[in-house]
Amino acid sequence: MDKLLSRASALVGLGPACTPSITFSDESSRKRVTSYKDGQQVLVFTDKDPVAGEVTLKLDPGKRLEHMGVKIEFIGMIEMFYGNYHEFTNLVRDLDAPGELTQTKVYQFDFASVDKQYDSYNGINVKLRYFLRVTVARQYSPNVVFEQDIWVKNVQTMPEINNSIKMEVGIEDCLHIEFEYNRSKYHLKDVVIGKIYFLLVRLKIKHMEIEIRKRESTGSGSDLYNESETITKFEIMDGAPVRGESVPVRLFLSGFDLTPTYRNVNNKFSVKYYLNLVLVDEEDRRYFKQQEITLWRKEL
Amino acid sequence: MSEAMARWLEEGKAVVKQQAFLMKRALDNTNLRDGLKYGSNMLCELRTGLLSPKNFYELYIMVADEMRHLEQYFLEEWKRGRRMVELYELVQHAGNIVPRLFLLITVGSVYIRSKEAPARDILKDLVEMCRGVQHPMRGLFLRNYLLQCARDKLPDIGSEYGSDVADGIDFLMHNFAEMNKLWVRMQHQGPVRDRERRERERLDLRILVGTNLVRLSNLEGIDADMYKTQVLPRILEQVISCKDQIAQQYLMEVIIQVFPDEFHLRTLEEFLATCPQLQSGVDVKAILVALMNRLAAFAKAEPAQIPSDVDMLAIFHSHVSKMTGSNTLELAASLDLQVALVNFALGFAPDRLDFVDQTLAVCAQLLQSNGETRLSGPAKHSTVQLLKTPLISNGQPLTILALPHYAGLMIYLPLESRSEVATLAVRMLLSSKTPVDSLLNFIQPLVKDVEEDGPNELDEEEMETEQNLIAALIHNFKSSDTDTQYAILVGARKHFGQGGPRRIKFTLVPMVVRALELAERVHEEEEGGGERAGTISAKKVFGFTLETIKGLASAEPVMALRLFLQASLIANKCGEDKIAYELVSQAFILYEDEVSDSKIQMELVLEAAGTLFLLNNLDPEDYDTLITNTTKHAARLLKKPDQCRAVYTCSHLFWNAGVKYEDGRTFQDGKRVLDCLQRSLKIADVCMQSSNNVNLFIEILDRYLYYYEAGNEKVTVKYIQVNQCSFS
Repeated sequence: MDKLLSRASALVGLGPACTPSITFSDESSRKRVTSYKDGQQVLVFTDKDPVAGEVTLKLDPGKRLEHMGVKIEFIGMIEMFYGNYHEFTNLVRDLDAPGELTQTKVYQFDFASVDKQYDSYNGINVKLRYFLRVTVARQYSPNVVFEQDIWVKNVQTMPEINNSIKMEVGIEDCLHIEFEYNRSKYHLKDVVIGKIYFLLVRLKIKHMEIEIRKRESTGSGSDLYNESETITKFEIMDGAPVRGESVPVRLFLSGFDLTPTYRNVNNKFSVKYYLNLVLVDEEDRRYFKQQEITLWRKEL
Repeated sequence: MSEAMARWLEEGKAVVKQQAFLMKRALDNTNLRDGLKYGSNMLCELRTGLLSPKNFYELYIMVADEMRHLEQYFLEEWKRGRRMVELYELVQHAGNIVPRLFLLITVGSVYIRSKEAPARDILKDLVEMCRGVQHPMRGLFLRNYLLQCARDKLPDIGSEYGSDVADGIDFLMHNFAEMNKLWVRMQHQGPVRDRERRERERLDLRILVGTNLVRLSNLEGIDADMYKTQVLPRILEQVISCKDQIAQQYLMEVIIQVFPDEFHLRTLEEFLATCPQLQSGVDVKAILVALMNRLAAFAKAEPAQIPSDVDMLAIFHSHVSKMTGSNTLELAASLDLQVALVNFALGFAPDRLDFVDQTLAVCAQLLQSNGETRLSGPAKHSTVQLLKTPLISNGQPLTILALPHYAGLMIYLPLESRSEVATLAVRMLLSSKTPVDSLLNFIQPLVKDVEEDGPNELDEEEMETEQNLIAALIHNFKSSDTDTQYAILVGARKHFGQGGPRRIKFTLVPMVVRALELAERVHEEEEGGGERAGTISAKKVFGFTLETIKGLASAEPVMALRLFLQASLIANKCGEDKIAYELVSQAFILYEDEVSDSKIQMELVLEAAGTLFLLNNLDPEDYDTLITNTTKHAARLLKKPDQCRAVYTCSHLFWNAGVKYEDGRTFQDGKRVLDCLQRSLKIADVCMQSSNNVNLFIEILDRYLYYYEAGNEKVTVKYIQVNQCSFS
């Protein structure tokens, strides 16, 4: 809203134009990711990284600007697509006392130990953003507001307990299989290694595949809303095995658009991942077993 | 190939062609991502389930061919500095398993060449990952592709990809086991009514499975010990556990074919012990036969290689006996086994004839208990093979004569088969020296008829061919010792004498010729004086000759007659005047009793006259008797011109300077000469109705002139003039 107005006022020539921008102090050495917004590149931060830099208020020569103070905010926000905003972090630094700006001015800012425990996330129904907002307050005119997103990724420690997943499933007198995935927790560049043992096969199986499924849950209680998405289908077997056969699984996760598993982020949403083993028979009936896996980030 | 299938194949090929083109273009632009994409699309055609094995193979070959371009590209990528492990991971992102594994194998092949990881590990990974394709046909072709790509990269002695041959073995065994499982599985998938088609399709695919064993046999590092302990037991385990007839049959045969003989020799026990464990439908006989034949050939080619510590004969014998003893085999099959056993024994231990005979005895028992007096069908064929084997086996056909049970088996064969065997035997024997009696016993079908066979249906031409062979054989009855030679002839005649009229005219004639030859030899020895090896006299040989010719007399009187004359000449030459006399007498008896054709009579009279003229050693009185007789016959010929000519020819017999009385006078009786001439002149007179016969007078005049010149005082100028008058 503020932003729209400021643009409009600039267009009609109302009030002197001032163009804020932000540069980060370690910009050149930071990784970038492509933002969900406009396909722009945004910088990547982790939890402990200081967010510091300069705010430049650019003023055209000969113009002047009266203001009621300049501030910068660091905001962490969860946006629901049904229009609910929730700020879980908001830090403010005042950059300038009310006064008059006669030329381009540069302010230092530093959010040295701001808490960024959540990862940035851009899902189907929910979005978790971190951004800096510069506000030049004015008395009679709309404030000049400028926002700059950053992308937060956190590296996690290797889980201490990481058991394999092993399970026997089946339909009585029809199909019995035992499957085994080497771990229950995988990092994002990991490989799922596994094996499917066929203990009893009375179906005419055509093929078998593994799906990676992602479930995004928002809200809670009666408002709980789940959205599932199949990230990939990966065929692991062609044809019909017989009893006693075993089929290897090797699925590289690195090629897919995955995030770590998020559980109950700020009580607002969760993102979970599942491996879904699907057997398809000759009549195209599908038999499946879904198993949750935990994804974590090992490195940026 | 059904129309629909042909169309599917064409469609598949069109797609492959198009995608391959796009793939190559992308690779030319070093665009790996697109190259892989199109490559995958191309490989996706191999996911089809619509094609029969043959058509699928066609498509597969086309794809495999295009995949070489991709492999080449991977190699270039590696040379440009790309790490193979990255590529190896990259292709595994493909969503469909069939294209993914084909790509993986292709990268794997380059990965091995790059040596960035041990070949052993890569091969192990590939062979394991291929389990993902459980569809029999696609699985077989995928694994075949793996084999093909790994062909020159197997760890082996002297290989740059690892020197531990055990790794190569492990890889091949693993792949073999999986392929065999897939192949066997084909049998059990799909509706029962398609069984025949499925079995046909399986046979089309068997070579894919067998290739594993071929590769195994190509590994340099496998020696006989390793084969015995690490290779064969694992193969056999697969063979037994698959419990599939087609697979067992094929694999056992492949084992025999692809591995070297030295290995087989070391592992006979293991291999043979497997045979009883095979499915009931498996033709174990064929397997054993193949093995024995192969080893026999080997033993013949390289006798030095045979290990002395293993008694091959005993091993085979016990296994064969076990099989024939089990009563599950048909007679022909049992016999085939024995044939192989004989062949094996002959190749393996040519000196162990006792063993061969023992085998023959077993066969004789089999045939006896079979109950048929004459075999037919496959059993007949097998028996013929059985009998032929020792003949051909080692170029020593004589072997059969040392086998007491050999000839006994012949009686179970119908005539034409016996002749077949006998003919072969004779052919083989022609250049050999041989105890005649066993030989003739053996070639009996050629020598005489046997009641059980019924009438002999051979036509003249076949008979002649056969008997000419025998005749040739007779000429080969040779011994440097005259006594032996005589014994041979006596023995042979015993057989030939029973040959019946159709045969003896072929067989006895050469016998006579041989006998005469012998007689001459004996005579020469006798004349030569000094020490004689033999005790036989020429007289005795002539006696034998006489008897032999008599044997021929009833069937072929004319032939016999001529032989008598021939023999008499030889006897004369040997100074046996009495015998010569007897022989000529026999000839006359025959002439009187048997010869009725006037034309032949004429010929014979002239021949007799010619012969008698040469018998200079005869006692003049005997001579007189014989020539008088001859002249009598001459005068009795049917046609007048013949009479005329014969009589004037006979006149010479009375003017023979060769025949001498004891006091030295020659047998030259001018008066009787004149009688003859006058007589023939008289006959000529009667003939003059036909002008053709005018020459008779000229001929007779010639005689007169001859005798006049020769000093026969009875023939005077008067007679010559009278003769001249006859013309006028």
